[in-house]
Amino acid sequence: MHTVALDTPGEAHLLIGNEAIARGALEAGLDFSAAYPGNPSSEIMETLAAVAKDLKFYAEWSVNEKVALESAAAASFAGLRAMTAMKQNGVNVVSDFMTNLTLTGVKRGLVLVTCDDPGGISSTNEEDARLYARIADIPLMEPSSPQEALEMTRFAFELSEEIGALCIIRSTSRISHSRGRVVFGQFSERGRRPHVDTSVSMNTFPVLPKHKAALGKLDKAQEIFEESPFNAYTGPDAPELMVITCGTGYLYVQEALALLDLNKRVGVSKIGTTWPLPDKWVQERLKQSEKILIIEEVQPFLEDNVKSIYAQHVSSIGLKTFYGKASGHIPRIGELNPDVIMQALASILEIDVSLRDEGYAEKAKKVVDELVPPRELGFCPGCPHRASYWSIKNALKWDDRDGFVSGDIGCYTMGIWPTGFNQVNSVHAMGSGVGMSSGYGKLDQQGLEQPIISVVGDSTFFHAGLPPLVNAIYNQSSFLLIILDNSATAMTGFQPHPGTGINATGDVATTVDIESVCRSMGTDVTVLDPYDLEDSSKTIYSLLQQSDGVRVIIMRRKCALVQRREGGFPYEMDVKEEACMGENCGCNRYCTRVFRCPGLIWDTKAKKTRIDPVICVGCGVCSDVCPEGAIIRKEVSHG
Amino acid sequence: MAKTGMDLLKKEVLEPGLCVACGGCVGLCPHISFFDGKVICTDSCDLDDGRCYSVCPIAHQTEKTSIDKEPVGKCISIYRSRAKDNRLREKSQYGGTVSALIIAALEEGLIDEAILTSNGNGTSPRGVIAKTAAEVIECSGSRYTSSAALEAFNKRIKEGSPRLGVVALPCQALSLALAKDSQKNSDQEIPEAELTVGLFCTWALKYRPFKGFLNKEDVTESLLRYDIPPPPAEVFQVFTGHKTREYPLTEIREFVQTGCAFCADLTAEFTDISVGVVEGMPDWNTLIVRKKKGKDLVDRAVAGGVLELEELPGENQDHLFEASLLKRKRGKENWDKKKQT
Repeated sequence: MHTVALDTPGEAHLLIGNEAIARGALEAGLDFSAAYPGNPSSEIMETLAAVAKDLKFYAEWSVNEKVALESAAAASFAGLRAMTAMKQNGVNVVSDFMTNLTLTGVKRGLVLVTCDDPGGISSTNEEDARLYARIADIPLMEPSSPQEALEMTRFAFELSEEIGALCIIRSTSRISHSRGRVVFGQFSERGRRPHVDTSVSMNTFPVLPKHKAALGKLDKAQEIFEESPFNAYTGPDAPELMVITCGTGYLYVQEALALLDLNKRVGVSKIGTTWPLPDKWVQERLKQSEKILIIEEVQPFLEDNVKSIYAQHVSSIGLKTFYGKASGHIPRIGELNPDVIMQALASILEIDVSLRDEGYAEKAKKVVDELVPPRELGFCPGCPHRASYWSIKNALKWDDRDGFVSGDIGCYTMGIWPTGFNQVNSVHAMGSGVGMSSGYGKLDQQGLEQPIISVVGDSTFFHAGLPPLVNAIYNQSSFLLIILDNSATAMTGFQPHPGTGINATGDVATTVDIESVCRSMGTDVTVLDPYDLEDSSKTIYSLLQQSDGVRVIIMRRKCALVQRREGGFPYEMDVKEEACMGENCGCNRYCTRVFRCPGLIWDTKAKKTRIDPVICVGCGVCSDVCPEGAIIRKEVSHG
Repeated sequence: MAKTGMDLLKKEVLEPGLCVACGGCVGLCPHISFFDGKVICTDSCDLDDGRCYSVCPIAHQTEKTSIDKEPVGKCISIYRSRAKDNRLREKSQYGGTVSALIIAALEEGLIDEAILTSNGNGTSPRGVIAKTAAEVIECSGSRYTSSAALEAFNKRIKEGSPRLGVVALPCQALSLALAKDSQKNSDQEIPEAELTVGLFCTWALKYRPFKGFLNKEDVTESLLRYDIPPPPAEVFQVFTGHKTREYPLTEIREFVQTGCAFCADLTAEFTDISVGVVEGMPDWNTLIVRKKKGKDLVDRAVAGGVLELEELPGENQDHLFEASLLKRKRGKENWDKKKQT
């Protein structure tokens, strides 16, 4: 059983932040959980789903974040403690429901965890989901460590119940994925029996009184936050500089202060309850020093809200100088690190700090250049997406009318790079490729002559691809929709989805068949095997020649990583050296330079292609790419 | 040194839309393909120099043609000719000379295989290999759309280099001649064709828009051949199994390959034999015997009783010379104009 399910209060375990969040929910007596995967949030539901059967609570991968929150809210309305988790983009998806849920409130504890990705390391954007707490008038807490992630999550259920509102926990990549010592608390009661009280109507009307009530809940949360142990001051009574920080900032500040030996000069106000801010507590902190430095990632959320309190109470607080994002001391984009904070501290306190020896950066770069081979983001060996984009590329080139591809989010986003032959032109939100194509596909009336392709993954299709497809069909838009069906939510870690026939807890589920769904809407559907390059290329080409409405192709092949686990591939690949044309006219490394599967290596000495037997999975596709038949498949049996 | 590779081919020929789809660059490498009637670069090879550029007749048009001062190029003799076999003539363009000669070359063992242009019913015509008389007859008739037939030549050579005969348009004949020239400075040679039979050509049509036109006109039955009767008819004839349709030539000219305007070769000068129309005699062909190899074949075909030869009337020869010189002049002028812009 997963560690988080152990009923061992007082015991310490090493957990990543997301596991700690899951543990916090379990300690709070979680009855119901629903989520859509998205880095860096995915491990929360994965952890919960792994123990759901044993601990007898419900866990599901929902079709998207909005449905996940709606489902969780339903559980709350029925008297259960419920939680949902998502990445920052997911909060955009739930926002419509969330801002309405504010007015109805909740019955039992309902918690939304957002794991933001400062720096957009594994996201299409950089976004600070904390602002939604303000927009939706709901309380927000930000943990600074896995231990705090556990405690805050557990407390969030209590707070949610006490004030009758949804509560948000905001984590970030470094909190969610850092492993730290976490001391377990006690499990509370679970196994409530759900019942919906039909004497109370859960709607948003009348709007104004309910909005007023929501603000009252927020005031109550603020009162509670004034005494919260998640907010703490450390440092001298009258520091030269007061740092106000939250989340990851707190850890970086501690490190920076220790390195610069500034603990006696600088005070640190660590705030865990960032919306609504504990007004009085903040006023007291501001009074302690003339200089205030506010440190946080992405938006100046804390900074603006602290300044708002300051402006309201300036006559009693006195004149202060603020440093932070507005002053330029803290960057407005990207993740923080101790170096950035040391530089800010040095500049404000006018101390000399040389972070590195002279020339260190150059030396480091040299070492890295020598030792680390250049690598670009790329599809795995055997990835069906590489094969699909190969055929899309061929078809669009053959077509020669400057056709283009609108895509969205999944492994196949990498179609914007050489690994996908730079085929994807636009990437935005989940399902946006289909929505954009619906628009492009209407421009023929104004004279657009370019053919239009939209690519969407299977999981993304269910998440947000259906409404734009319905729109396109209804409005008689004309484009070619290619559903890249690798039978997994591969990018976030192979979570099942409605098309896979398995649910979050590993049970057999109803399979929603993409083909039938599309056909039922009146579109023609062609199913292709991406590994058959010739058939795929020609079929895509021929469907591009049609211009009557939405045409659907499903390119279906299991994610190569899944296939490898489920019995592998049929071939062992080899190169007939004498047949390999290498760099000569007639080839010039077609396989390693254009096709670029990482399972193919260019032997710089022999000037021949080789197979990397360690990572080649044996899909056999490159054999059809080689113009000379030099790459050969040998059938292997899997014992 | 100037880079004479695929990038230059793209810049000078493909991107300005001057490619006439002869197929000389197709089948040599995986980066260039002929698909649905069009030569397309699907990828970039990134090499500085390439065979694709060196064999391109558009890129080398002016260097190679019109050097010969003779009105129709190198020439041993000129005849009018036709296949003895009536059935061959019925299916063929005019006198069926080309089909008769290719069948003779195969049967006499002068060549192992012939590279011809398929009928391409429903798809674009393209280069095919013929080894038997039946396969030759299958390909008889005119196409008028670009077929990149040299793709089949390049691919066959790559597979094993049998003795190949090629029926070539002037651009294709030029490409083969350029390939021969380029052997001198390349270790990757494109072997020579054993026999080249040229076709007179004034221009070829772009396959895709022409197909679109025929679709629009609802010509869905199988296409046998096309023809342009002599002036002043100004019509383009489409022969199908059922009937003959006529369209104003001006409508069809819209689909002419842009690159054909720069061609200075009417009679396929870089061949062993050239065959074309005889104005006013739809049952006959003009036959230009250019080289010894061509003469041998014609002699054998006549001796074997498959080809009929007669003297070409002087009036027809004058017309032919006039038309040939006119095309040279126009082609050259268009090039010069283009260079200035």
